[in-house]
Amino acid sequence: MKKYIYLLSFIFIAGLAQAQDIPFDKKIFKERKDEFKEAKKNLDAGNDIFEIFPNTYLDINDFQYVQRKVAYREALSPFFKANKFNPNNAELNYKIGRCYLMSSVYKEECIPHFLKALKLNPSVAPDVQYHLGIGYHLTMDFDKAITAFNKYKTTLVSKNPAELEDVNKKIAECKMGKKLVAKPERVFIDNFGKPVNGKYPEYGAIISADESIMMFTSRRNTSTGSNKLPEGSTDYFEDIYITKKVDGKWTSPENMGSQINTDGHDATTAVSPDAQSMLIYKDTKGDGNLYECKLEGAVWSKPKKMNKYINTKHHESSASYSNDGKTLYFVSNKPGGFGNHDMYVTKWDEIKQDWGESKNLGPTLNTKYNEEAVLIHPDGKTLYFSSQGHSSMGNYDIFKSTLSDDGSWSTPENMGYPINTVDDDVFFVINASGRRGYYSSFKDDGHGEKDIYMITFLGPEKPFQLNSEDNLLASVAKPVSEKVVEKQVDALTKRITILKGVTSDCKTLKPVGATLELIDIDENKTLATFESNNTTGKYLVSLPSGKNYGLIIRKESYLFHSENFNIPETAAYQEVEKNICLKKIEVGSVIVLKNIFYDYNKATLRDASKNELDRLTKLLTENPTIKIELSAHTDSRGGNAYNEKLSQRRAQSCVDYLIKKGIATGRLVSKGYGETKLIKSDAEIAKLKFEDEKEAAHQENRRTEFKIIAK
Amino acid sequence: MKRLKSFLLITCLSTSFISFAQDDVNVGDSTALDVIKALTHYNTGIEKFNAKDFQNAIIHFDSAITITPNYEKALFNRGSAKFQLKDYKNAIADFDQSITLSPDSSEAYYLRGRSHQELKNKEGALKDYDDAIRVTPENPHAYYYRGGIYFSDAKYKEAIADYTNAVKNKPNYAYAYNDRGSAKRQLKDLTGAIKDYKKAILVDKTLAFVYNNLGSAYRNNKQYAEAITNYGKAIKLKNDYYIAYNNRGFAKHEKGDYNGAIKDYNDAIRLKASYVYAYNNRAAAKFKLKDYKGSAADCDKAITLNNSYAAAYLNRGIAREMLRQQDKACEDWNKAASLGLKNGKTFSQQSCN
Repeated sequence: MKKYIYLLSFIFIAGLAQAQDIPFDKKIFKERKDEFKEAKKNLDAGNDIFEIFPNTYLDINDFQYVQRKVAYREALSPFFKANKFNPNNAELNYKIGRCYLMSSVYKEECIPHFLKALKLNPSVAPDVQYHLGIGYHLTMDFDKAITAFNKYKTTLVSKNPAELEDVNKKIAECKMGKKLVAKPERVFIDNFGKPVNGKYPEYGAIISADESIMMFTSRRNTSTGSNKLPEGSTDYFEDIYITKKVDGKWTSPENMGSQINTDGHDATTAVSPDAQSMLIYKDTKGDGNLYECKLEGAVWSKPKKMNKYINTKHHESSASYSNDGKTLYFVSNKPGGFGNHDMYVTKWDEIKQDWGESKNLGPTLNTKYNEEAVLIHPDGKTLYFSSQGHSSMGNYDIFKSTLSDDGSWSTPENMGYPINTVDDDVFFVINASGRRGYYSSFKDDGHGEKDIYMITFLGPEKPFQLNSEDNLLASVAKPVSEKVVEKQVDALTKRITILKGVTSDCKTLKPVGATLELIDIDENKTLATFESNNTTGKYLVSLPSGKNYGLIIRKESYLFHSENFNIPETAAYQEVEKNICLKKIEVGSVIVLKNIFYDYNKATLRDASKNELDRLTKLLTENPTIKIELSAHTDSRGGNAYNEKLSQRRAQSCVDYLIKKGIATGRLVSKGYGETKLIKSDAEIAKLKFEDEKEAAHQENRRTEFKIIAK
Repeated sequence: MKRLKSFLLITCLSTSFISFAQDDVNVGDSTALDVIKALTHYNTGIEKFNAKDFQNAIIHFDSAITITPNYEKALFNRGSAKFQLKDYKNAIADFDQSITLSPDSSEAYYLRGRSHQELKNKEGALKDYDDAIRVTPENPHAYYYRGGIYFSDAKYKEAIADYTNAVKNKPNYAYAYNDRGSAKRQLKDLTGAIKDYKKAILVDKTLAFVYNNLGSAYRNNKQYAEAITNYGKAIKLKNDYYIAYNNRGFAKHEKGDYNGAIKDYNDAIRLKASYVYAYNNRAAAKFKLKDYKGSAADCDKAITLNNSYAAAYLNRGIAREMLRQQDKACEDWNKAASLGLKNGKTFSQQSCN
């Protein structure tokens, strides 16, 4: 068998050595006149398309790139027929290689054609080594790519600095690729599957912070305006679709309707963490702009073009809301940046009730190349974006950077392989926990064209716990097991709490839209204001770890409701579901004041309590006829008599504060209940498994509340 | 080990026998005949004892004591014989009488202490060792066993002080060196532990467990090659030493030799089919070799053998995650957390949302 392999190899090598560059010359093919005529016709047809474009590969914009891609795809067919007739033409092989290189899925096919072209004529084209390098780069054969690029460098006669810079960048990308591929990230990447993905392109997935809602862009035959194709494209116009997670399963996607989708391109850009606002991209005059729409009850409002600080006559392509809705990051190629598309930031102007002037995010994040698809995580400080610069392994890679307390951004970090590949990796979004991300890609296992893929981040390898034992004591036969110190595990999830639920009326239990005010208790300032949905009452607030939060829920003609979430810096990701019912201002209504704090074992009010008591003062001022009983309660630990006295003194402290604020004494009754009205009994607490749960139960018992006793 | 235990006891007992065998009898005394009879029984008891015929030794000591009720040495030696027969309760009764008659008998305190220790009466044992040392501050065995109690109470510094006194009074005391090394290891003094284990080996090269312990000290010190060598020596001395096989597998795992580790765990399991540690550890090595199915199956086996084995749940969760059985992985991590493993909670928080 070996003998035959050697023989075949010899014949092949000898064939190659003897191979000559055969021109398309009728004299050579005089025996095959008709066939030659047909082949020449195909060759000319291919050349007509191929040569429309200048040979340069630098400074091609996106539109030219797409045009070239479409044209080369068209040229490939006649070229291929001509090549079948005369496979030994160096120039044709080179051109076929170039066409394959621009294709979506058969890029690797370019390599044998470039190699053959080189074999037939080493100087077939000045840039053949460059394109061969690209071919190897795209197939992740980094060493061969570096060799080809270096060969190309030696042939660069013009010494054009742009060409030199470009090839050096390619070499750097290959080196980065080698490094990243050698140490891949621990992730699962799964096709999102049907019914979201189909044979048409799906991309640009955006998700709510709790991952319950996803919108995405698709170019389906059911798109609005699908009766015609966009100029120069074989895909339908872009439309936005929505899918919801119900009982852990995604529903069949629905077109978002004519209010959102038009006859032109309508593409996703961002959704607010609570999925009550959405940013979309529209390209009506070829300049590309950002629009905003809001969910009003169950209906999305008509998209409204964002202001002049965001949209310009230049190209604005993507944007992202911060968790508090007060900051917007976006991408624009307006002049004055560091490269082509750059990332900018704008803040919400409370006075003008509109977005303020924008500011470039600076050279730490923006490069001379393109930055795209910006995303700020609900933690408010991790920025994800795609860039062709930084330490990319090829084309666009996804990077992340963190905002420091001093306002500076960390050096962008490549998200690693296989999240990033040598191809374009854009439109990446990640859920609040940081555990799952979504992006789009054109892969062999897809359903056709671009599909949405889900990335599950596994984080650093979870350490196994090994066990051993030894006969530590000579006089004791029984071995002693080695005490295992559990290995520390790096935090994988984001340090953030997602608080979500429904606001409703306590009596009717019907959902009501309410205003949610998020307060920094220690700083005594409002961090953000949100609205729960008017129809569903749904709300979602993301609370980055490291603050003592107060959440006040308000609605006209209802008593305010207060919640407290003290989330330590080290708290890992958690989702808390809290349905809140609001009580009407009527006799008998009781409200727990969760943001009243006393010194330990004392009745002295802490400063942090004043915000809550001021709120109560306001309520009493606005409703001058109501009288309240203000009561304090302790937990069951400590003596009964002591607890009763302490709670009485605490209730009195609150009443004293209100009197000081001008509330008539006669409207206030203080009452210390001690441990007589526990919310969680000792028996219930005893049943709890973990200490932190028990402590939380005691905490629930320790409370201050007021009851309307007359109106 | 048991062999050495018996040897130690006989060594300390023989001192008492020799001194007692030389007691004088006054001829012409009215009770002289009884005394001679008692002495004869006593000496026969000693012969039987030395021949390890403890039952008959007790019969003769009984006879001697019946004739001479306050026969302190017969009481002591009968107690010793009962100790050998693990009749600790009655041994203590004899030592009680012996100590009443001779309050300065360090050996009686020591052996009563041992009896108390065997009956898990730690306080009683400690008090007797204290007394044994008070009476004879050079008693190495009393120090050694008191050190053992301190060790089991995690009072490693006190244990080290006692082991030091034991070797001071008995320089070839291999057990004491070993145990002192173990106490140092518990205090994370790995260099000290390695030194002591080596001293124990210098004194006695036949103790497989000392080589094993030395291997573990090296392993904890990340000196895996030395660890593997010493586990090998332990196995050579005791070819059914499954603990050393498991430990060697562990060291190989840490060194990155996962196939070698699996081979050792296989041997440990061959020698002890119910050895949960070896199944659990083999799961870890299989995981490293990307045999996630095999890894989960080994954890299954460990859990079948011990359904409250927290580490096996934790580890099975890790393997199941890679098998894309996320729900089951989360169940395992939650179970591990409920059994006290912090990482169970951490993994669940990280990966189960």
